[in-house]
Amino acid sequence: MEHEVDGWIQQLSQCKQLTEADVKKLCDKTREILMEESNHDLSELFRIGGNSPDTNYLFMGDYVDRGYYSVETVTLLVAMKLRYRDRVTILRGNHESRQITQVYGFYDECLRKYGNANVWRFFTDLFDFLPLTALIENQIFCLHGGLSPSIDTLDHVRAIDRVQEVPHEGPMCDLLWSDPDDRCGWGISPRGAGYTFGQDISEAFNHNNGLTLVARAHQLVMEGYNWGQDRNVVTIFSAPNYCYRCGNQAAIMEIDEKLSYSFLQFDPAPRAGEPLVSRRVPDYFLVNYHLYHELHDELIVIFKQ
Amino acid sequence: MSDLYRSAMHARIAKLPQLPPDVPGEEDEDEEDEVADSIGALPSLSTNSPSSHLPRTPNPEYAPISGASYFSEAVQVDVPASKLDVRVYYTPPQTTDGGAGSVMVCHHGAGFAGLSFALFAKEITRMSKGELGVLSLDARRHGKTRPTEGSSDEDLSLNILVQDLYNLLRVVFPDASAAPSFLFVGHSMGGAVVVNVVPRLLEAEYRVSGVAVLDVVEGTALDALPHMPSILNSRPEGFDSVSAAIEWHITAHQIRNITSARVSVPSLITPTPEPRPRGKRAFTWFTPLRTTGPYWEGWFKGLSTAFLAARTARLLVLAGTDRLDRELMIGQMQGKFQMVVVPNTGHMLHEDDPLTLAQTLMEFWRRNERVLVGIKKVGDL
Repeated sequence: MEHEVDGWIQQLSQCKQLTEADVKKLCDKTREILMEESNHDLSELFRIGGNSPDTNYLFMGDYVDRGYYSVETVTLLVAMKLRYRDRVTILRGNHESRQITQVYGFYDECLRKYGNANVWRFFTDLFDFLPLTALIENQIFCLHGGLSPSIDTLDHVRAIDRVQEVPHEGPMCDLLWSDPDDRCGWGISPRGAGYTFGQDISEAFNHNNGLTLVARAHQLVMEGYNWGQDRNVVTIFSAPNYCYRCGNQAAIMEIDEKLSYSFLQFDPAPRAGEPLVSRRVPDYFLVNYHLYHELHDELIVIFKQ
Repeated sequence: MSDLYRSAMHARIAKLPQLPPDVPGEEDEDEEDEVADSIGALPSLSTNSPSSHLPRTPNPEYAPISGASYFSEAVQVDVPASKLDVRVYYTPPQTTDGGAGSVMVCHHGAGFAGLSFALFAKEITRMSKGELGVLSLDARRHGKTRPTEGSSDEDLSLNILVQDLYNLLRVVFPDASAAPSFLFVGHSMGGAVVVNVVPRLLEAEYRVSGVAVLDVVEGTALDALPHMPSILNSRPEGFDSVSAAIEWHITAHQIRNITSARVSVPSLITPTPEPRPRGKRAFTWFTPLRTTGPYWEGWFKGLSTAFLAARTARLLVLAGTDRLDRELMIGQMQGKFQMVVVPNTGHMLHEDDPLTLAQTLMEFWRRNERVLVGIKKVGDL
């Protein structure tokens, strides 16, 4: 199996799509892994100082839509998960949904590239099994969107019946759609789903749950990352020059064994083969990708280290 | 208008709420007759089209339909500040709590008219059980809006159109504290108008619960302007009949909904003045788009910034696919507005699929108008 997955990764790294049958096999296998992991969801996946000396990678959602190579990108990412299951965690973003992908391009891309909707169905069925959140060392709460007025504690998060299409409202929807805001308290989100939450909310949430930080993605920030709400919340956006026109930098957050943070900022399309990161291998990368073609090389570089 | 139709209309109108009593205008003098007459003046031309003038028999499939059943009232509103006699189609909100309720205010795009929203308005009335009112107007130089005696209505620049809408709403709802909450919907050029009227109304302490822009994005619109001449050249200069105009809008894929075209297209054309020059068709465009050319850039420039800055809930509805300019793409990815794509529609998405748009707007309205304890609305401080 490992050999086969290596072959897929090799093929995908050249931006060549897999066959429909291989995609099905990939999604089926990965779903098994995700189901096993769901028992310790939210959790201890990322225990620093564990046996693995390798870097762990946490991806915070939005792997599909709006690029020309969503199919190759998400296939590669899922293959990475299958191949390096203990090192890679893939959270669900609001785009990992049947409804959103029918509007923003992934569905059409699958139809175009495979001539039918099967591959889209394999992936969107798999998306239902993606975890919504991850917790690093009981300190850093990671998720795609933000907080929810229906969720006060991590136990509330654990209680969510999450293996389903992203609903239009409710706690699961909020985790994938909410944004921090300058205004205090809760607000109706201008996005049409989720809420906005102020510093008072994130402070209370972190304090009540013994956390130091909410790390999330979901919003484009021009520098690639942005501290907010008196460092109770950090936003990380890892797609440079989003949609080929936004002119933003991208960033990855690196967390070392002492849980101190640093950020790697980068611009679009570095030359293939050029190492993205310094030699020192960090313990974690927190990444949010609307992944594009030019990022494939970077991913490969990361995993070859 | 047949006697039967007239009496049926009277009976129906008598059951429906009327414009607030403070609306000035001729209809005050003899409201029932005026309302009936003005609805009679709606394009119910199927019975009185002078078929003798036509080179061929109009196709009944494309026969005009009156707008009367889509709104409860059609009135001319005198707006002295704009020197206009504005055609307004209105279904007032039915409130149960004695409050002023909410009214959706619709502004059409260039070359179209208020009845472009007819089918959509009827869906809104049905879905909200009348709770959400709908007001649609004909802009200056469009539809049945006319300049008052001796004035010119030539200028279609954005600030004039914004001023017109503002003036109209101040006439219809003079007291901001007693006025309904407005939910604006603007198509294309109308999108620019509604976005820019929001700050003015907020300043005058009106309540605005949201603004929805239909199928216009500044970057895309400005990029398209150089192609406009060839698009205009592909439009016929005139039509042999009202039905022929409706048929053209369908066959040329301008509007993808026959019923809507049968309601909306009649107010876009006007009989060619007699004596008709040789070669001219019996009907011409009431608002030849070519004559609006000088204003196009001004309508769209700055639209994305103004939209993102509007201090109310913001909704962008696009036809078919997602086509955002850089500013809106960043704004969307920062969560500043809601975006909905209505599949299988063209530029006239509110006519093409009024049902889906009405569902979208109902959700938008309910979401942003509902009062939740401890939860701020978009635009609140």
